Amino acid sequence: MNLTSCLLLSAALFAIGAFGLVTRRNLIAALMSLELMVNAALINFVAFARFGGPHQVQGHPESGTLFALFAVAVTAAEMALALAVVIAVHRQRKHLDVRELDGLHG
Amino acid sequence: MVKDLFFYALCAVLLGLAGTTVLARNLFRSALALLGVLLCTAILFLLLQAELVALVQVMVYIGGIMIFVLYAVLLTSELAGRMAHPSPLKIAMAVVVAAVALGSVGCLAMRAGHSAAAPAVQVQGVIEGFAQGMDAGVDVAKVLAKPQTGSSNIASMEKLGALLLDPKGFLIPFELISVLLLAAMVGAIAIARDDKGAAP
Amino acid sequence: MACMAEAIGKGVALGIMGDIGFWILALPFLSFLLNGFWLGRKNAKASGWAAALFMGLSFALALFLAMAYRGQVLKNPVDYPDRALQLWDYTWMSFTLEPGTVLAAKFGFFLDPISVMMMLVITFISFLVHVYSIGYMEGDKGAGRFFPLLSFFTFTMLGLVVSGNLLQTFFFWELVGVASYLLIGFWYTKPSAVAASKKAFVLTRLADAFFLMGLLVTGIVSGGFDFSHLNSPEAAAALNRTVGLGFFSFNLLTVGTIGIYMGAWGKSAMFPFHVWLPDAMEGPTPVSSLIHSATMVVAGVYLTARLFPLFSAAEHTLRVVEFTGAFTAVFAAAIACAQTDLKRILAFSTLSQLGLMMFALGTGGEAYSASMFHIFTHAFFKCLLFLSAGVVIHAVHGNDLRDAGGLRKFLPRTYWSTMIAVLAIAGIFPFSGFFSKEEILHAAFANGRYGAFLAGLATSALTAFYMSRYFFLVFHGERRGGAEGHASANGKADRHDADNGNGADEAKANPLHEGFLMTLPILILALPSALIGWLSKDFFTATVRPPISGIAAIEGSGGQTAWLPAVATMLALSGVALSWYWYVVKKNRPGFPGRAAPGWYRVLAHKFYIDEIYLFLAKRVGGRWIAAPADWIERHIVNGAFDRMTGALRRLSIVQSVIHSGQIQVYIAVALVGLWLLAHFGGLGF
Repeated sequence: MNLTSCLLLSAALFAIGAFGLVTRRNLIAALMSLELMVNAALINFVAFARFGGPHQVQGHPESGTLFALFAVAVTAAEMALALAVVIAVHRQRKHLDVRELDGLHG
Repeated sequence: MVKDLFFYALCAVLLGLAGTTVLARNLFRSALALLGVLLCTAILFLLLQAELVALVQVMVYIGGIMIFVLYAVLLTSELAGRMAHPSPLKIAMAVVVAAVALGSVGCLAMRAGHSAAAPAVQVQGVIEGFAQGMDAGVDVAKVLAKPQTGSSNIASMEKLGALLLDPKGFLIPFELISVLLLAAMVGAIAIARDDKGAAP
Repeated sequence: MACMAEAIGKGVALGIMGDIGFWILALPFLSFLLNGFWLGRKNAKASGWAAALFMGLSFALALFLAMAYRGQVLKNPVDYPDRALQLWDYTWMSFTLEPGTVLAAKFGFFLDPISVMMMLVITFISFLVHVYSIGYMEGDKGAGRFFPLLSFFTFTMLGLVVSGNLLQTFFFWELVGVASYLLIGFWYTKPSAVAASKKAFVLTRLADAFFLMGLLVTGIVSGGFDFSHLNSPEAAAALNRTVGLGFFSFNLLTVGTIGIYMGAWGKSAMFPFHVWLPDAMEGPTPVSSLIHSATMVVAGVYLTARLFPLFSAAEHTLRVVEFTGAFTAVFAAAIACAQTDLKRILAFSTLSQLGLMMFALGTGGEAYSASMFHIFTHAFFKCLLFLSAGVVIHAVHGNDLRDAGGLRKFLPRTYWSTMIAVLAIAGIFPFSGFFSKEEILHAAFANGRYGAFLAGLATSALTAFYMSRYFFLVFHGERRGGAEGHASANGKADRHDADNGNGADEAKANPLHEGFLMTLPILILALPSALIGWLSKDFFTATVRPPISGIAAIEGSGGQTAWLPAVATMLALSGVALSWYWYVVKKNRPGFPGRAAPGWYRVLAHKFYIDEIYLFLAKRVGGRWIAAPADWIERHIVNGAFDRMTGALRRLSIVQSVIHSGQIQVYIAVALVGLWLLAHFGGLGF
């Protein structure tokens, strides 16, 4: 268990999350894939905090964990809003198919 | 050695559950798989001696966000329903994106790993303590009650707390996070409320 | 009269002459504008009178200018050795070539014996034809269009003859072609008229392509377009060099002059470009009399005369001129003997006379003035013949010889005038045609061109024969066609009666009458046809000579030709006598010799089948081997490549429209991959 393996794990998780984000047809499923990607980033932060990467915040090797904390808080806020949007969309259109949500078309 | 095996097993489970999240045809199954991913991540954080993050992960992420996601799933779809397959074009695009992501981040990972000045810090975390205690046959409670002194725990609570409230540290982001959470709350209510209701 | 002329001549300053020249050109053009855009639409008859008035004024001015020219130029041979005078000149475009020569496009008024002669002829004939047309076009629905077009034609023809440089000549040459096209196809609802006008325009245009080529070669290589420059020995020397092109090498002088001559070849309808002239008779008779007899078709002869010194400096050009002219003369005369359409006979007669004029120029030397003299006399009697044919056509409501006959009693004035013209064209002493034809034959013999001389003699004999045949069949004998019925199977009406009713009431009541407006010009023209030869022949030989450098052409030794007039007259008289015998004494029908030699007769009647040969060449050869492959290439290769390209582009756009489909996941994918691409190629190296 060393930095490289953790980082590779994080990369794999990120890739899986990206795959799901592009592939999934249900809005909530896509959001869940997005969560996977955020988690990969969290693992990244914590791994660097533990093993010490080439660039750390000066004198505070543990600040990586604080980054992770803040990331979790922000993710919480973001998911709250995202799911509020999901509720609203579902109320209006009765479906959550991403392919139908093409208002950006043109 | 044990730790390494455990780590690899954890990786396998993690990635398996992640695969289930993105590939499952049933939305509920997918949500539960995500929950498993989050748990495994929390265990990983413990392995990495970031106990605070692990706790926060379980409490906030799993206990808050995932519940919310499950609420949304339950409210908007049939639990037993099967979702449609994505189109081949989308799958192709997604494979490309995943390959790009894996390739680029992996490349960076390898580079970072080689150039890391990894401090060979011997730290004692909870798990080490447990192992030692088991080896020593010591009472668990006693070990837990023993204050951890002498061992430089990198991510100790005192240090994190001090850093959070340090103006030269993370004080300002700390305050701003509360503003953000307030804004998110208000926004979520505003978006999700029913407009048909009369509200001055 | 002569004193008055002298007085006028001496007193007129050059500036005033320039103004008069301007107005001579401007009056017909103004008549065109006035009648074309306003008066013609309101009241056709008034527009006819207005046009005739303008033309009359123009003629008067031309007379005045001619007298002034005589006083100014002809009386001062010291100041004007070439008898040439440029009244005014306006350069409207010029280019400077490398070595410092300037090529200028000019518009000017140039006086010279032949240009003055042509100016007088054109204005006079045009004036008479305008008056005639007032009567002829009465009742025609399109009469309002007719007079502006006639005036336009007069303007362009005048612009052509008073031009002092080759470029202006070409410019007006093409405009004359346009006027001819518009007038031939005047009755545009008649398919044969439309076809004829297209034929004329396309053929002359084809010839003009070579004209342009020759013009450019001579102009650019010699460094200028003015006639005075082109006719100088320096220009001929500059052009006289050999140029190689691939395997061929040719002399620029020869190529340039023959190129220019090809314009004349087409416009004056020499064989084999002659096919448009008989068809041009589809136009109204005034058009035929003005354009296709007296003025436009002689433009080719005029051009050849203008560039006579240059042509004679070239090695073969004059031989080509002579040969084409002589051949056309005999060829057309032979065909005319077997035609039954009134105007076709006259058309072939015009062709034959043009051939005479052309080969006269080709023989060189003295024949220059003979040719010009013949243009002069021919204009009068040919115009008269056409105008009288118009009267006959009105009378019998058709063009066919077989419908006419015995008209002597009904159209007496026309009868006597036409007789004078026929005697003139046959070359009987003392009428005008005798003198001009005799000059030509004399010059040909004196210059030693015996082949052309024999052709000229043969043409004279044939001309006398077929013209008197025409005359006797129309005016003598018994009345073959009725006023209403047609003796011939296909009575082609000259006027498009179905469209516009049938003329004025008097014509309906008595079709065989002679309208005053139509008869007056005929009578007026009879005078010059009779007398002008006697009056002006000495003047012509003395004055109308090529520019000095052109006399370097062949000067014949002369030879004794006192026997020539006698021989020529005998031939002519025998031609007249033969047709008298056949058609008056024996009272034969027009198709008479047909039974004796049916093969020959049919060939002649079908004009040697030249039109059929052209049609075959165009359709079978040109169409199948040139046009069809070109069309295939155009359709499949050129357009095909274009279509394939647009198809590919369309498919490409459909493919890339996925990116703009509004699908968020697509946008995300594109964004991520794009981010990586930026990072990778932007130097971050992952």
